[in-house]
Amino acid sequence: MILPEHEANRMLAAAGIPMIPLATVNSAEAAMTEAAILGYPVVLKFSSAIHTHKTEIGGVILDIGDETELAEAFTKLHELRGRLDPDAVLILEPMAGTGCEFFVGFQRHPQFGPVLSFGLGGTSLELFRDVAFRLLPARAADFSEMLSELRSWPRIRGGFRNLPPVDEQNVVHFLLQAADFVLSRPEIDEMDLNPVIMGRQGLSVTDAAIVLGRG
Amino acid sequence: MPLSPRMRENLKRVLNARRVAVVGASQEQLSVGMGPLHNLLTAGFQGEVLPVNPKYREILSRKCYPDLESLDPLPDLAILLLNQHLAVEMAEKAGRLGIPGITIVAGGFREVGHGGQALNDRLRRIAFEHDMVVIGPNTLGFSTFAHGLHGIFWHLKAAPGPVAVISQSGGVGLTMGYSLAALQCGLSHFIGVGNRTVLDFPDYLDALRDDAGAGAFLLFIEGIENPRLLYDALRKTTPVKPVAVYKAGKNEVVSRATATHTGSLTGEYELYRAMFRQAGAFEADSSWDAAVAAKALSMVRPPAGNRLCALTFTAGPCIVAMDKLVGGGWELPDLRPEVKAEISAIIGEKTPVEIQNPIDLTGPGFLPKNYVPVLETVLEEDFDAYLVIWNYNPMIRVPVVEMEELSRRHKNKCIVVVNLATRSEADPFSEALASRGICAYLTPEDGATALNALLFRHRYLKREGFL
Repeated sequence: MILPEHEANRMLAAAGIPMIPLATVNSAEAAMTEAAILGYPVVLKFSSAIHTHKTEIGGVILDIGDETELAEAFTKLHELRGRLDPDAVLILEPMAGTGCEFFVGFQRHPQFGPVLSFGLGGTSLELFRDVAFRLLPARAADFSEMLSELRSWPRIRGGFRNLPPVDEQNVVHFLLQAADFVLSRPEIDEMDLNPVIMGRQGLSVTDAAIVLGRG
Repeated sequence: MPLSPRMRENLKRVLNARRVAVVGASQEQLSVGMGPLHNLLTAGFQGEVLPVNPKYREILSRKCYPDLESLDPLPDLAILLLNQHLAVEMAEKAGRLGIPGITIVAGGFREVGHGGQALNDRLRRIAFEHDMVVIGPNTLGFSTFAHGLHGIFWHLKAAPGPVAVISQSGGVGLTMGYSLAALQCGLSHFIGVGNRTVLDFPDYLDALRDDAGAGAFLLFIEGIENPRLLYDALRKTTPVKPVAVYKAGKNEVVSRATATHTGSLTGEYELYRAMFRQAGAFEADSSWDAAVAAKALSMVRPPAGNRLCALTFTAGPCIVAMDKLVGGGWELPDLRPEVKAEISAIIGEKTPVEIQNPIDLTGPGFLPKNYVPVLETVLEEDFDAYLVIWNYNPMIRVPVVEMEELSRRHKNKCIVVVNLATRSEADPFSEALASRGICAYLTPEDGATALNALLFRHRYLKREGFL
């Protein structure tokens, strides 16, 4: 069973994983109220247990600058929900700041057991496949080594172009947290955190998918 | 199913067998039945060899026994040179008699499908019922070189030495064994794991982890059903002994359909690679490189850090080595000005070279009277490892004795020598260096691979808090 994004987000946030704050919104008015609290620009997303690849179906609208744009976005996703999945929920998030985008994944592999993946995230994930793996449980020293296995690591660690530098300790701590989270929840079969944004203010997970096992 | 404590004990006993029955032994030169017998009788085995075959009374002027029952006391090991059906019958008998272990050379088990699977399952039942260990089936067998227990049925001329080869393929295992022999590095064991019906990689690692003869492991792995168990066994092994591994099957495509990126991204080989790295096993890219690494890991203490100094009188080979070494994580800190001056003074101020690290002494360098004092000077400096490149010339003496002297004086320094030469010309020197405990190779790439394996080992030990 796939948890829709807003449920995955809650589960992770409750465990102390730095998730981007999110609000579920049922109407354009509610969206505007929440946006006023979160502050513009905001993101409106389609959170469904069926359609997990949101971007491909046009289920993510980024960088919404004001109420007019928000109303327009809401109409669009509301229409999408009617068409694709009436059980889907629309969620509102603040637009994440710029930062290096990472991917953190987890799976229970039939032969290798619990495995954590870490790599360049966002759209770079499928384009460059710059990912390293560790069997769990693993320790800080293993995760540290994992970072240095990324081809892009030498270029991103000090801050690539306009991106802030990547604090290794911070990332390692995050990987330890993520590993603890999945290992202490045997019901989780797979998990994607993508992207995890390493901004000037630290790390924040802006999208998450969790697959629960049948057992 | 994990081995019983009794089976674990039996495996150790089998690997150090004193009485070895060769069932199906024959003196026909081109039969499989000849192989182990010939090997055991010519390799200086210190135990007893007991041919078993009802067809003969005597083989190679040794008494031949009609069956296992007539052996008293029972052998520690029975090598079964029988077809798969007879082998399973004989396994049953061996188990009932209480023989601790057997080798089954024959194929025709689960690798051939349905009928083979039934034989396979029966063999497993027999083994676990009688606490009897089974090497193979479908294997060359195993050899323990330290006491001449050369039980494989094929030819492998190897000197007793520190490397234990454990291979999923007989052919690749032998290739690695030949490579080690060409590198003047001996073997402690050769184990063809075959179908791994009863004993798998982790069991052999467990049995040999504390074996005084095995100084380093060299594994060849095609693919296994439960890599997690191998991971656990490797993690118990690498703190005690270094491991080099060569893995086949790198291009298998990912076919698992999953809901997340996580599942679809992961190729099986990538997980093996991560697993080896995490477990501290050095992964090589070829059977030769694996042997090169295993030799270094078995004879050189890992460096205390990644500060490397290279010495040569011919630039190119050093440049080639640097490509690999820098990629492997080595740094080449500059020499202190005083040291540069000292080196200039040794080779003569008139030599128009800029002294830096790597140190290229050019022309004057090929004279031992210059080369050796420079080596001596830099060995006093704060480096963790040295790549010492020599180029053979029959007119000039190879400073083997001095290299030995210096390496003995600097025991905490990691030294790898490269002697550029044809194999036949280099052999006497390679042997002289090996017998003096100096790790030497014939090409700069091999020297670099060796140093990279050693640096990997250092990083692993440091990561695990052993340094």
